[in-house]
Amino acid sequence: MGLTQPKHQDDAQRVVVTGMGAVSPYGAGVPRLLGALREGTSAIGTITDFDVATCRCTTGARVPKDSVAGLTGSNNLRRAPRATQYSILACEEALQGAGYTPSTWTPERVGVFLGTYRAMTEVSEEIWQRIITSEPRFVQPLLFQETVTNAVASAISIRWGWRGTNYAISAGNACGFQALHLARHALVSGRADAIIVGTFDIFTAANHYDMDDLGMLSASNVSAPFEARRDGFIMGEGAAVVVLETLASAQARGATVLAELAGLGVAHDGHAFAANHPEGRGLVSAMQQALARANVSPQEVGYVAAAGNSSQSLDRAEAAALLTVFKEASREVPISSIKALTGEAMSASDMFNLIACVGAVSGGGLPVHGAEARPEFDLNLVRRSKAARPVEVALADSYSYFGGNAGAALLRAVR
Amino acid sequence: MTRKVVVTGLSALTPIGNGLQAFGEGLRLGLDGVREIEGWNASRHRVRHAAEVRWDKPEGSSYSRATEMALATLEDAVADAGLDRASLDAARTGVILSSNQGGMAPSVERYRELTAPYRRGAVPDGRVLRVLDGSPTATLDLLMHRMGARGLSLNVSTACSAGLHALGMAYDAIRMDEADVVVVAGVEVLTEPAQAGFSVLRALSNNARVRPFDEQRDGTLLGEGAAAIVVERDDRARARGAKVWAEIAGYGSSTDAYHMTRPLSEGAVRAMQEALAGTPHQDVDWIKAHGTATPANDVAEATAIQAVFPERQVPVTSIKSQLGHSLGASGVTEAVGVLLAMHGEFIPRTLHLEKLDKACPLDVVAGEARPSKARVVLANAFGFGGNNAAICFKRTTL
Repeated sequence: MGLTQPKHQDDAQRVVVTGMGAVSPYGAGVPRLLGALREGTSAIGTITDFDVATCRCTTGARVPKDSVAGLTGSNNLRRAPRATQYSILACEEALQGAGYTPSTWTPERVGVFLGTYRAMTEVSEEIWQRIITSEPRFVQPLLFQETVTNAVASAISIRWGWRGTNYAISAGNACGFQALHLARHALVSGRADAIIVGTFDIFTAANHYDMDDLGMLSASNVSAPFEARRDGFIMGEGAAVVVLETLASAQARGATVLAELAGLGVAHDGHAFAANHPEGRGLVSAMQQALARANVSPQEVGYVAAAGNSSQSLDRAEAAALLTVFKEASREVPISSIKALTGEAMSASDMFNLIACVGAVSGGGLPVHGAEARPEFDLNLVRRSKAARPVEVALADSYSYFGGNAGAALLRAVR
Repeated sequence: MTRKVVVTGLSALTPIGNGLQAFGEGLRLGLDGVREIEGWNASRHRVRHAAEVRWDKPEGSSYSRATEMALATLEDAVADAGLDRASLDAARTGVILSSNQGGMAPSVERYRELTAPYRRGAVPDGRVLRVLDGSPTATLDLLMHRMGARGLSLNVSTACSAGLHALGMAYDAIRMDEADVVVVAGVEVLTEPAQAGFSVLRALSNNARVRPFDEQRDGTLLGEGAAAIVVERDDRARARGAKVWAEIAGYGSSTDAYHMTRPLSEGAVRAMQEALAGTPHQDVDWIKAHGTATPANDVAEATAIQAVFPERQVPVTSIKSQLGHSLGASGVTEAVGVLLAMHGEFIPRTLHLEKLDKACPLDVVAGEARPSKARVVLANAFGFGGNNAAICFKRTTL
């Protein structure tokens, strides 16, 4: 199998994606997600399942209620928190794509690394509600045990019987990339044969109210990353998972390789609480690390899945970061922020971006940014007509909108 | 290329003493940190005891008590390590936080003040920071800024094993040459949901005492804690003449894949074995157990310990009898306790042990602190959801 590029790196040191799954505001399945993104179809709509009369922002991108109709398994799963249901469904899809059977891997050598920003917010709120409106002793025990951030990773391990290391990371928006980073270590160090890496973030009415009251959501109800008219983000949600293995392991078991995770970078602005560094220095560092590890120059990047979420400072910081890293090429490289269509799904957006890049380098086309978008910055936003071009190398970004964590992943085509 | 990883700085705020001196003495004396809850009104709770930290956040602070505790311990640990932050390469400096709840409001009153739908309407400027500081992410960001760090940053939330996972991640990062210095910080404050939740899970003691390995043990009690550990490459530590508390000689982790709240010994065995890879088992001087004093944990843990050490009874102790179970902070706080005890040349006693459970046939250190010039100590942490972690500490002399 001929692969583009890298020199002198043995296949046990190279990490590849062999499966992916997603539950997004478009519903269950990566094909639904990528199909919608290629069409430029928005998942954002007026919120109808809770009262937004007191909010400035009345729109959001919710995972449709019937998305979990395909969830197989116990009744417990049907009553499980949405975060767990979406993650398990995404995992099922990813494993199917990876050709998984119970004998594919030794259970002690499979780990589950999940990242999340809001963690089990829905469950936590129910617990508080029970304490406030009733009595502490009436808190539901089976519900309480779901409040721990690692509940989802544990549920996945229990369902499939995997006994390697599990990590649950909750940190900013870029925790998906941190999970990828940890997974890469575990794989190249030989500690694991496969890592299920994923993220989940769902939002509740209370989350929406809090963000709206903080003035972070779009009062004009538009998600317009990089455009001058942007005035805040619109909330999205979902869960997404990828199966990572070394190239050597994947080849040994005859797995279909979707893309190589050729470079990764994680960094922190170290600037100010709740504010992005004006030059986006955390993201600069992350992107440079990813490019350097993949031995790829900025000019070779065929597509960028941006972090921009329609916030004034985040988008500006990312544009500045792109200029620093790509220089003149920043005006040329095709770029889109899928948050124009999916809303800001927090850590789930990390994986949506990653999946969009996997799609891009495996001939699937590029996410469209938005037909009418007029960027404030000199960027080559992807329009419908240009969306079909083949791409060898794609870069996925993540950047916390409240100032902090940044991540970047470079995906490379595998032929 | 792998590198030796050492601990050069420590700090702690605990129910038995704030600061290393007081904490160390509290361990040596066997102080019991469990008291009636004072931080919020516990009258509606079935269990009204916990081990709180006696520490108030600074007047006029814009942040949560959890964040302030974490910041304070970060400062103290950096000072203990004699680190000059200005001389660090920010891109190779990181913070790994271990907290389940972060700055979540601890009480119903505070929750109603801070969180929708109870709190609604535009958030006044003066309250924005506190509202934003509602989860570990915020605490992490603030720690990164305080540290002047721009490298590795994440919060580990693997329930009760988070602290040792965080230490393990720091160990990995330094061995893989991604970072020169990582501060591992743990913080957990006592909250009403945790107190209520562990109670309805029947995990809490009804008798105001945490009695690990005792025949009559009836559960754990929650604790608060904040601690920080500075982890560095050994050659850097040597080059700057830093004192070294210990080497992190091994890290093990595994998952039970069994049950959300019931443990399985086999997973714990694997974690301990992995932490001890490269250390002859006969060198282990004592074990700091997870030892929550729940009927289930202690038996599963004793079984696991016997499986790893079939030839002899390695002394075992549980610091939770003094500190309670501080969840996300516990791994870090108790690791600080281990290192203080190693340097103080004693093994802290396990409180309230009157009759050893026959199903836990271990040499549990009880009655008083046991003198021990320990060189190698194994620390265990086994969390909800079946997450297991273990760290092996080795005393070195520079």
